Amino acid sequence: MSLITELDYGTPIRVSEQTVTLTIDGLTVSVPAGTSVMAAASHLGTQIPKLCATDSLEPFGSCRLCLVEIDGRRGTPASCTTPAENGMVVHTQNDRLARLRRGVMELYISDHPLDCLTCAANGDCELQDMAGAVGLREVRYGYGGKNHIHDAKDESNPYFTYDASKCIVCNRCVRACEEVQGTFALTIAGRGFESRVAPGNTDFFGSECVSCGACVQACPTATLTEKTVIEHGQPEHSVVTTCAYCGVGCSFKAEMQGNRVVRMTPYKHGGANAGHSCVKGRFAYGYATHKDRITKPMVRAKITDPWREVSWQEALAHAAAEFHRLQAAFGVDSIGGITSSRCTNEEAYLVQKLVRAGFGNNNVDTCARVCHSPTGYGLKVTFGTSAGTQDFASVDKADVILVIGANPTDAHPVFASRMKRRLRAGAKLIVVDPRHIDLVRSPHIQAQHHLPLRPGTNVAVLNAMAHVIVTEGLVAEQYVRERCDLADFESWARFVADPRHAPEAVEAQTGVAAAEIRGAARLYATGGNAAIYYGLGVTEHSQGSTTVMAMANLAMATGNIGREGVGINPLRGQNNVQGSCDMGSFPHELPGYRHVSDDATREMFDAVWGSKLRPEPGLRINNMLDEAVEGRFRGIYIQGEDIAQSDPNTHHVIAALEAMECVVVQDLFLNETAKYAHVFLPGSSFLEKDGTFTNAERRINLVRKVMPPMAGMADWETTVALSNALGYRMNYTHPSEIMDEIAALTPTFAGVSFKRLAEVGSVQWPCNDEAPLGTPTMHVDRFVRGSGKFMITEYIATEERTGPRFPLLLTTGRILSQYNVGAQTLRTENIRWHQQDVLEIHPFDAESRGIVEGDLVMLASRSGEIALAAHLTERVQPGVVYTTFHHAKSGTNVITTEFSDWATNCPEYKVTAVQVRPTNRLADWQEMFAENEVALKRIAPLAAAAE
Amino acid sequence: MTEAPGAEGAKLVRMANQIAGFFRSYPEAAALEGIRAHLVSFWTPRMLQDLCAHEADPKVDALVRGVLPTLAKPR
Repeated sequence: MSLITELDYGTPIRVSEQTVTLTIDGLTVSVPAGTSVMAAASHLGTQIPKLCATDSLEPFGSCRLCLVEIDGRRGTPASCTTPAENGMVVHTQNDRLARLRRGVMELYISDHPLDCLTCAANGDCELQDMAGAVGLREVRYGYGGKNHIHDAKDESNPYFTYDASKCIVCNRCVRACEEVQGTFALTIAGRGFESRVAPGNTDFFGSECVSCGACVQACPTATLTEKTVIEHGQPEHSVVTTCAYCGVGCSFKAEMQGNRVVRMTPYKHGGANAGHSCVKGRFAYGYATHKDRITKPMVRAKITDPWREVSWQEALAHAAAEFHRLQAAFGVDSIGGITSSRCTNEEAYLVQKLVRAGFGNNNVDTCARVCHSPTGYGLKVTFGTSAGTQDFASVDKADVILVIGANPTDAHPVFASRMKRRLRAGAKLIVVDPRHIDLVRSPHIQAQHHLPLRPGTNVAVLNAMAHVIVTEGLVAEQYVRERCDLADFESWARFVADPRHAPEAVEAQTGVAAAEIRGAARLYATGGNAAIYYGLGVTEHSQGSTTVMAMANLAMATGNIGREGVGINPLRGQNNVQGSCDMGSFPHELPGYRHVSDDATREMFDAVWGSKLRPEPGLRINNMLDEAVEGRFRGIYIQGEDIAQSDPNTHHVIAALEAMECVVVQDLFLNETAKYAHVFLPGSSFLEKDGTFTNAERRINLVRKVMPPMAGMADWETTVALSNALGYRMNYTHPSEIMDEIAALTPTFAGVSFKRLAEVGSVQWPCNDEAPLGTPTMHVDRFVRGSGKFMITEYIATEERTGPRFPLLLTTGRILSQYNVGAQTLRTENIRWHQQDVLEIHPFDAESRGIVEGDLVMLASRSGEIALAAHLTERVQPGVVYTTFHHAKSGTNVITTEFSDWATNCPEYKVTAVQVRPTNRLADWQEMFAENEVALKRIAPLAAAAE
Repeated sequence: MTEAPGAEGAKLVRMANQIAGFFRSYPEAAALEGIRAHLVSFWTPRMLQDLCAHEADPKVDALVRGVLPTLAKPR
């Protein structure tokens, strides 16, 4: 193994149908029109010296190192800013150019610490490389002049250091912050000799910097350097793998020293991220080796007993015996399992296989139940497949972007950067969100329409937009005629044309000005390529599935499905939530979204699995919990999900877990659910196993093992061992064999193999003989189901109503630095950005309750109450409060209710009627939580455990 | 923590009524078929059986009640 180095072309690779041909140092090269001379030379393998240029950034032309001579032109133009032209004759090396470059380097080095041997960038420094490349042998100016060598370091950021003494003011960091990330947090302050990189009038930690790492990545010197590199030195080998945070699925190079990760750097050839990253994937990987990791299997008879460390064999035998006992006593259907959207496709596949073939029932579900299950349902009904329609690159061709119920800059930051780039280039933006999210107005971004709707009224707003489109004659009639079921369309058109759906008629209900809805609808229908991006603000409602169908209706009616730049794009939450669904994790579907009642499909699985699968659906998670409380569901195998923290109505979840006799938790940490478990099987992080993740754009990426599993087994191996202990044989020696089985049984995965993924980097399913390299855009000539199906989407108000006791609406979400239940990010330095969950409340609502900034307030709903610190902000509208659920001790889901989506039971996290009042104490639940943190997580000392 | 026995049955009725709420916009025959197909596709046989046991419950939506006889039959 060696360190992977990526060729830097110096300036961005241009895409053009036209090519130009030129001669560089006597060699002829043809490149797309718009390519710089520098990049054209790179195509030939000629590296022109450079410092301010890198191919992730537009050319800048400031360092004067990349000078070339061009026949017929005067002077020595910068090759980075000079476009290649037909017939151009370029010289990149001669005595004159060498002299000029050495002169430039002398100036740089005259104000640079000559501490190369002890510098963190030693071995990875472009300044050092360029000094070598130009043959710098002396600095005629000496080193005694005015300089910056003693400038102070800014070490405030937990992950990287800004060492001003090393800065050559090349501007790459500032431009990366602007062009790549789109945050505009950095600038060059001062003039002339005083010019320095500055994150505003503060330090990095206190600034608007989002710690995406783009500046560090762009820095050619040791000015911006990862603290891990400063501590450990340069990595010696690297492995390309896939991030285990959100559904963007960024590719990273895990840069290693032996088994230690020195840093994670975004991979330029990553299909999803193209070399960009966010604070979580780039820096917050320390949880993987955190001291809280449990690396020994454990068992206990009762949840009040201390855990007892045991061998793998004993733990697995105990779990298997318990599951057998429960099935013998309470029936085959008394147990089930939950697959993880944090684990690989292969691992999710094995868990559902274990449940269906080993347990002999279909009681398997996954955390998509509580996030994007309505996406699967809604898009399958309307289009025929349970997934988004585009790749991320599609946004580059969108003219109108409608963001509804999503906060991409916080939850999907790498894709958000791409979206913002398109918006800065002129695409129009519509934001439908109760909160004033950053996208509504941020540097160089301004939404044309912000529809700050009342939580729970998505369907009413979308129907009103549809009303405008139909009644104002904005329907793409030819598209609808050719691509959609006409009878369904006509029924739908009559439905939405009814005056009760007019924007004016729903204004009071939705809280959105009719003129804004009309404007947004007209823009969406007539503004060119229109693309919808959405998140959990769509799905986590009692009408989540209806909203997904309403969006599909809009897209079909305006002809915005089936080409680049358009589509319905779910921004999926977890790294492999798409994959876990693809792998048959829902109780009614086998891998590839085929219903369990389909005899032909089931028989195919029966033959390969050597089993007799059941033809009827099994229990969803919420059904399992309900049946547990009723005493009919007694045991569960949970791989990598923390339902006690993440699922709604914590009281109910805990009651269900307490009612079970065998809860087996497989996880990295003793999470909230493990407090109620009887068997703990230590999990493995994404760094410890091979496999694949599938991201929100259906892209299947390889996950590669970079270190051995800390507990000795990868998660897939644990499932295999558990299955074998149960008596259902599994014989896999590598995850690639599992993928081969998936491909053999799943038509949309028929062309997928580890070998192909290694060859081409990634593919988007469907990947088969018809599309051997995958399918970036779906429904191109026809919908997967044949004709697109319009659905009637009546708005039905949620049963969760405000009233005198609970007059406010709570909506929940997450923030940039944290990830879901915080199990990972709170075990990293990211905790410095979010040390507690707070309640956002509008100043009007706060004032009427006598609440001031920072007050402890009691947040109460029909389900329970918790105490949080109040944060007064106009980001939320009057009548709406907002909080996150990252800290277990907050107990945010004590508040949320069991109301759920009508079709999928996805919980209605986004709408809970609440009251807020000042308090001076924690809630009872929070005090009980503190006690249980000790009582239910005890691990017996080894000597006692051996007795 | 304990919950009232029979709470699950009330939940099933509420869930079924929600499904009926969606399909109510369709002509009755299509609505009945939509509700039936949805229940059979996503509910376990025991959940369907439990729902059928609530036939006399006045909280059961009329459309749901309309499909209960078809759910009782073996599939």
